[in-house]
Amino acid sequence: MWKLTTMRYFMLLMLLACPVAMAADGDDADLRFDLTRLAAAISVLDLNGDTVFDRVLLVRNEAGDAVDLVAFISDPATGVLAEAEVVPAILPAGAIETRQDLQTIGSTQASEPGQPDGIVFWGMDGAFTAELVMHRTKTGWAVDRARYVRLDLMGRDVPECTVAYNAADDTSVKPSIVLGPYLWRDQLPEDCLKG
Amino acid sequence: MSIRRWVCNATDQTFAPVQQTCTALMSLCNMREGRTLYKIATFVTLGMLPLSAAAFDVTADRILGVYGNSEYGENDWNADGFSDLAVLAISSQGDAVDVYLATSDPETGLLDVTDVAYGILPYDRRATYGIGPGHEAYEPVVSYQTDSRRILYLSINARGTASGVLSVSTFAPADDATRSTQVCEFMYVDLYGSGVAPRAMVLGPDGVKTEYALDQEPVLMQWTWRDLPNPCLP
Repeated sequence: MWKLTTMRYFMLLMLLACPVAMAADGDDADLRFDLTRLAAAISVLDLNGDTVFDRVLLVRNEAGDAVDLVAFISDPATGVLAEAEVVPAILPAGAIETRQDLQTIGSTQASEPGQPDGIVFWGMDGAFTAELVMHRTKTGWAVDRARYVRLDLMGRDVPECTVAYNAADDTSVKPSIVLGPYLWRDQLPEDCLKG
Repeated sequence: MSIRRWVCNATDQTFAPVQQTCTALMSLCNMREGRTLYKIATFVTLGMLPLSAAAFDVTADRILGVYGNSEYGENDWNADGFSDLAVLAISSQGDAVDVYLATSDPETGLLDVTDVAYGILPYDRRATYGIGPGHEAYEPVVSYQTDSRRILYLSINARGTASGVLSVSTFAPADDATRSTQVCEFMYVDLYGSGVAPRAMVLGPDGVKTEYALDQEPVLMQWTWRDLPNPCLP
């Protein structure tokens, strides 16, 4: 038998407290998720025009039917990221079991420094490819263009639906719409839902 | 092999916080050479292993880049017919960059993290990082660029486990700022079957080029930017 000295009491306490501390860590305010749910990320784009890079992620949701948008805006003075902005279910996720679906992110780089970049998302769900072009506004996210394309049996693109929204450039098109969950199902015109 | 080494090796294969906890616990025990506490530490660490293997949870603000697919729609870089995933993330300490490689189970198609390389690059808030497809095999390539506009590319020979380093290349902007000059190249594997033996080239600041042969391909988990000659760092 060994004696429990003060030092050993302390060490034993630390050993027992360690798993508890690790479990508590999962309940903090940070946005955490299983790494294998990541679909795409970009860290070289400026969403608010302050010339400091921000970050955007696409993360498969827990239901597995869509990917969520997670955006971080950097503080221009320190570069520290602000709290995450999350827009759930912006693109369909497709068949998650085989991960044959595809999501990528690109940026529509501003023509001049100090102007915000936009984002382009592509998502594939079976034979359908969705493309969303959007930008960050003061209150949220606005969709500039939504385009759905179907692949025919010969592997050719067949446009199913193209909707341009950005009213700033062209008054003949509809004003931007606010990006919301399940946009492709709930916010696009009926013609776009044939697929 | 001692039980201590076995436990720490096992944890090292799985999850950084567990591995760090393991090392800290073992250090504490060594301080007093308490055999019973040593055993307790072993059991606590072993008890944490299943938790760590279940999922690689990360905080979203640590993610720098994801290679889940290429612009060609390919993301099967181990060529087993199933999609794979490579993630670049800031280390939990915030001072380095880690790489996570996840491969799909050929039977179920489900992804699992199979290789993690901690601290392969330094983390600098002003630098830019990326990860994407390389050449013909779509191997994961990590990019790291600093304010100096020097850029380093690290190509990974991704396998299910025990991935290696294919090559390291560094480019510096040329005087006319329109081109770049390769200042460093470590080619460990003959990528294109050209028959050229593994080699290294380092262009010093004085313009003197040094070339030498290389040994075997480094193991990714053991590779670190700290081993590179100065001209190779961005």
